[in-house]
Amino acid sequence: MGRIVARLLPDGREVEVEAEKPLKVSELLKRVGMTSESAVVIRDGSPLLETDYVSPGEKVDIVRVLSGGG
Amino acid sequence: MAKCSVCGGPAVAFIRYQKRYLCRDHYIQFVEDKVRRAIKRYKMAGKGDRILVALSGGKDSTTLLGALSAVRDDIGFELVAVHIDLGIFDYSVKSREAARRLAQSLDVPLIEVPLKEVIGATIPELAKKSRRPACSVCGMIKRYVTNAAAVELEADAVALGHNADDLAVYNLKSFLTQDLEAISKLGPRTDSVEEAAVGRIRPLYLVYEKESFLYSFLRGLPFLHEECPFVDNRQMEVRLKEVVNQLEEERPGTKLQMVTKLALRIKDYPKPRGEIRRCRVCGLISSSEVCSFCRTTERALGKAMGPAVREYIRRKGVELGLIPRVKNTATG
Repeated sequence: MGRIVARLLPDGREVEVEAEKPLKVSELLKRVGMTSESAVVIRDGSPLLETDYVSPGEKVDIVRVLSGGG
Repeated sequence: MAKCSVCGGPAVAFIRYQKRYLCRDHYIQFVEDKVRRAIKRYKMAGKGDRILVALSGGKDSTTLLGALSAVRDDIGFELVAVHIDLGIFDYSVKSREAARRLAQSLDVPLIEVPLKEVIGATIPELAKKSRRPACSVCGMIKRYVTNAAAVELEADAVALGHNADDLAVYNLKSFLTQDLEAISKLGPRTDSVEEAAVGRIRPLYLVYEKESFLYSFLRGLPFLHEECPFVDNRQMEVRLKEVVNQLEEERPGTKLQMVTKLALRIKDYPKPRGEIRRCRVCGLISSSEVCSFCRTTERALGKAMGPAVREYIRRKGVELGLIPRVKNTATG
């Protein structure tokens, strides 16, 4: 069992997602309680597509794009 | 690896409601095309117009200024930006830095309005003294200062960074609370009232919030992606955004449909009642004898500060060569 380390932005909190195999971005987002409409996953400075994979051992940023308030 | 549906290059985004993959350059073009289309379809601006952009330093106003600067030569309008330093601790310092860097990199004149210097109080201080929630005071101050800047600079419109998600959610919230008058203000543009209020336009009307973030990110534009310390994430708008995005996941294009239909039906909603007046103190638009900005500052600070704000902006406008306004139909 491996772990994907995700830094949640803008608040900067880190979470670890357990994964036996590479996870699709859409699945990774689901595991941290987000949707692909509300967040962007960034690896090495590039945004990933919903159909891209993130492997155990990798580190990504998950940016919540919804701003609060109005 | 997925390829761009236009050029075959490596894709960085998938537009679900169009079933298209786009590379970086075509993605940027896609967002700018949306902005150009919204400006033309909803008659937001034309040749020779002066557009004042309310620049907070966050992602949406950054995308707004970035995209407007990309299309300004095609349409032929002039851009000026205004940034209000709200004095909200470190958050405002970072916002101001982002706004300065952006305006400079896009070659857009920027008027900064530091509240502490101009009216003698920051948002937290004003909220405390007036015993009102910070967000309520802040919204009122931003509306007032932006309008004052637009009037002083003789702008033809104020461009706001509201995106499609914002408008879909404001619409839904207003409908749920049956505040139908509020819906009448959610169109792509509002009208001006001569010398008292400048009409507002929303060039990001057709741009999703995620698209707005990705545009600024992919262009490498400087912006602050941080929540204001006063934001309450339990607010109804935040919950509604999550709900609307779940619908969008199930039915791609839902948000776009919501805002385009809203624009078509906007005239059917009742307008707020009550006559439009001018503030006795500052002369700008008001629903009563004294506008809420002058009333609040009078109560909290002992002096109505509307005239001071107008004077400060006028002085800055002269310093930057924006006042008197020289109308130039060939402006770029």
